[in-house]
Amino acid sequence: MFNMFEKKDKKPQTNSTISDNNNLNSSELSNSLKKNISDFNEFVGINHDVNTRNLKLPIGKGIDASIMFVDGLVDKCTINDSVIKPLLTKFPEKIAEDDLLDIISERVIKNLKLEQSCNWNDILDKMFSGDTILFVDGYSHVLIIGVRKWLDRGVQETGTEQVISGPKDSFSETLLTNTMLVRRRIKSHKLKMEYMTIGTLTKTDVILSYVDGVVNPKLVEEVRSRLNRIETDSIIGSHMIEEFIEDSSFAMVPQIIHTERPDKAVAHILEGGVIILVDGTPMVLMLPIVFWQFLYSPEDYNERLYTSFLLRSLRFVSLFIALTLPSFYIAVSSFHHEMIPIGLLQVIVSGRRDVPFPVLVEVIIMELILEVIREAGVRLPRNVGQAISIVGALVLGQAAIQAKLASPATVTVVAITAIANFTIPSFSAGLSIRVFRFVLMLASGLHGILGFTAILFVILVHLCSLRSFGVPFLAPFAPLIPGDLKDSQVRLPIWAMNRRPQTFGAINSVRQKPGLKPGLKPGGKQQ
Amino acid sequence: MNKEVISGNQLIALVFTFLIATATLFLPAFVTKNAGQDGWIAPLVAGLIGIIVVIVVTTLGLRFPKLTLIEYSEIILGNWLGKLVGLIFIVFYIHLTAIIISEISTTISSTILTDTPIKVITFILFIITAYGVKKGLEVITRINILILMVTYLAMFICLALLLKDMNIELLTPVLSNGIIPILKDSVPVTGWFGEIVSIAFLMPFINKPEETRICSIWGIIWASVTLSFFVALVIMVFGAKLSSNLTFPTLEAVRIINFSDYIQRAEIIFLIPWLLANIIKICFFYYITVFVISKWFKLERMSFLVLPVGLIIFSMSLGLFKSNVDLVEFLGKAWGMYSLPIELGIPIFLLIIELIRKKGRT
Repeated sequence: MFNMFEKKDKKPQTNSTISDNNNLNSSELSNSLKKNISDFNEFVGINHDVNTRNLKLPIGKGIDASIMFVDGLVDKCTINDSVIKPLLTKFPEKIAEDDLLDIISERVIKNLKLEQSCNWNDILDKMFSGDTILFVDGYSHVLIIGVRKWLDRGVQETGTEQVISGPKDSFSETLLTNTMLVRRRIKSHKLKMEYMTIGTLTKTDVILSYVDGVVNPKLVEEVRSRLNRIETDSIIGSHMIEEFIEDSSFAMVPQIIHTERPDKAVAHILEGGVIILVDGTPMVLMLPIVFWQFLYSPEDYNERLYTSFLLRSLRFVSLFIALTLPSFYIAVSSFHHEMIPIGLLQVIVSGRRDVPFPVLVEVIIMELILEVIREAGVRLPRNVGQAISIVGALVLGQAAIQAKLASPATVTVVAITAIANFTIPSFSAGLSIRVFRFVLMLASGLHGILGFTAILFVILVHLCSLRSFGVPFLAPFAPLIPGDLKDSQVRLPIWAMNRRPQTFGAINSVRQKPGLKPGLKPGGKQQ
Repeated sequence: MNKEVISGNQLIALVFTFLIATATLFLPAFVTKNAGQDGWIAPLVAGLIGIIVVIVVTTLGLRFPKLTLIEYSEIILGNWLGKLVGLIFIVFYIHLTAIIISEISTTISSTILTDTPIKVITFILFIITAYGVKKGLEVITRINILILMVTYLAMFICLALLLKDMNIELLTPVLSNGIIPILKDSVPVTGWFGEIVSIAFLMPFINKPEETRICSIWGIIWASVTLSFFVALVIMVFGAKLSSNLTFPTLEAVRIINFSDYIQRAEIIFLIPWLLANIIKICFFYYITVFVISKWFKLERMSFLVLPVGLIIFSMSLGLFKSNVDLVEFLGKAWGMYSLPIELGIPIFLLIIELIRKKGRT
């Protein structure tokens, strides 16, 4: 069965990839500039942004040469100053005809990046990535001059993962900016950046980065092989890469974290993880991950120990509220009245007296309205967005209560849930929690506490059975890795975290010298 | 063949969970029948029986590494008798799992969902435990640790809220009637502790088989101390007479919590973790049943057995007992005498034959 499908899938794909490159691979450059230029025009066809500049080199009677580049991807000043100007003026006196290209590259052109090539495929790839090509008459290879430069938005403040104290820079769409941000934080040759291109049309640059000697080589090998497996014509963003390489596609929660923050990404690779940088996406993929990382923020390390413990606990409680509060409310108020203290029961019942719906319907309607408002808030133009969403929610809530369509208790529960949902630092995990919440609500509306517990169990089993690149998703709690609990719900002081967490299978576990507690003499020795 | 691996501390937690999960609710009523205020000693006595079972089963298991009881009973007794022992265990496990399920479903239907038909409750339990069993033993043991943390937290909260209702004098006089009534009462409890025989089927999963014995013993000690603590707690709240007449004494104790007139009837704090722990327990025994059957038929894969075996078990649980009272009668009077020969007798028999015939690795 499955073999049949595979065969069907594979055939057209291989055909198309071959036909894509066929004419390019077979044809070599010729000695004649004219032939080369006509070939070039044939390959490139109608392309407004491809420019050609013809030159005559001042050697003897003059040798024809031609420069090709893509407008918008190159630094025109550099081409003018360090390529065209020296080519037209500064030539050494004596020149043997056969090594003209070597002389040009060694002594004439004043540019940092320079290479030679004789393959049309390579040449066109480089040119469309922003390099400039120099053809010289009489030579069957060309010079590729690296003068890439294009506009980007630069390093800006992060938009989705703000912190109050701590670094504020964020990744941007340009790959080189991103590698720079990582490299600036780890100034060691042990930080490796493996380069690869994925997509036969988009030729997206992808960089796999890790710290050699810390990361488990098996993990890198696994990630590399999963990346190499991708055979597609287009990669538009890092999310496409994620769907190609993640462990279970149909899981309810993401198994890879996207982050905008360089410090978060760097901390991850220093603990033995791997990051993937994709050109054109201001997000970096962090893997492997564990579930609890959704709940931790870089800020936990910038604040006092106790504060960070309390904040992490608060986030954990909020996660629980966001997940269970409405369903718990439904279960208790429609099945188990006896479990509510009398005072509270009076309040709930008196608010619900005139409401015509059962609790389940009431809560689900309010939750749906809230989801609609939230979704609309994302789409609304920025100038009106916040005002309208706040006013919409307030007016709607107030009006619903006064029209006796919802009870005040329900509106409170729904509102608390919505706010608690936003304390989860990871946006995509927050989305998954919302899905879980609706399932829980339906189950507890049907079977009270039993349905609630049953679905809670199913969610736990689901999370527990997931793996992110071989790492159990709920580690270090399930399975229990006692040594890694030092940086879980409770965070120990930095000087006490002598060993790297073992969750990601880091090979070099010693991170720092023991006995670095302030006030102790290093190593416990007398000075 | 098995890729799934259980570590030592996961085994301790697993043993703990499946020993105490159902027992916490029923036990205090059984052990106070004859022993009265000394009932808290009975779980400790029963724990000793559990330890004997562990020693017998692990001695056998270490002689036949990577094999389960089903397989090595065939080596020890020969094909036909060995198959017969396997068959006894299959029937016993199907029955045992069905009993556990009906314990839980009758408890649910008589405490929290009084209007829901018991068939619906059983069906829900069936679906979710089948999902858990499909995901495998490793997942079950991992969640177990998470749930155990929650269970312990809930237990401490309930205990703290109950402190002012306790009267330690209700536990005195200690051993006024001698040891005999305690031994009498510990018989039904040994039924629960005998369930530890399941580690005979778990040993191939454990990453260090030689640790099985000590880990299981720790699990038993932990569980019996916790249980005896629960019994003592219930006696301190209700007194021995009243506890022996209640169906779910522990639940009733949690129900009387009244803390400054606001936190009342905290049974929900107790019930959700209790339910989770019991779902784990069902999952575990359901898994073992399926596993035993697959071993008996020498099957390579077991996942396709999950649903059919589950249908047998869960529909059997519906017909086993007429009512709550029927169930409690069975558990209190017949359960210990019925299960102990299988849980303890057969392994001892196997061990004796093995010591004579010396088929395994010594």
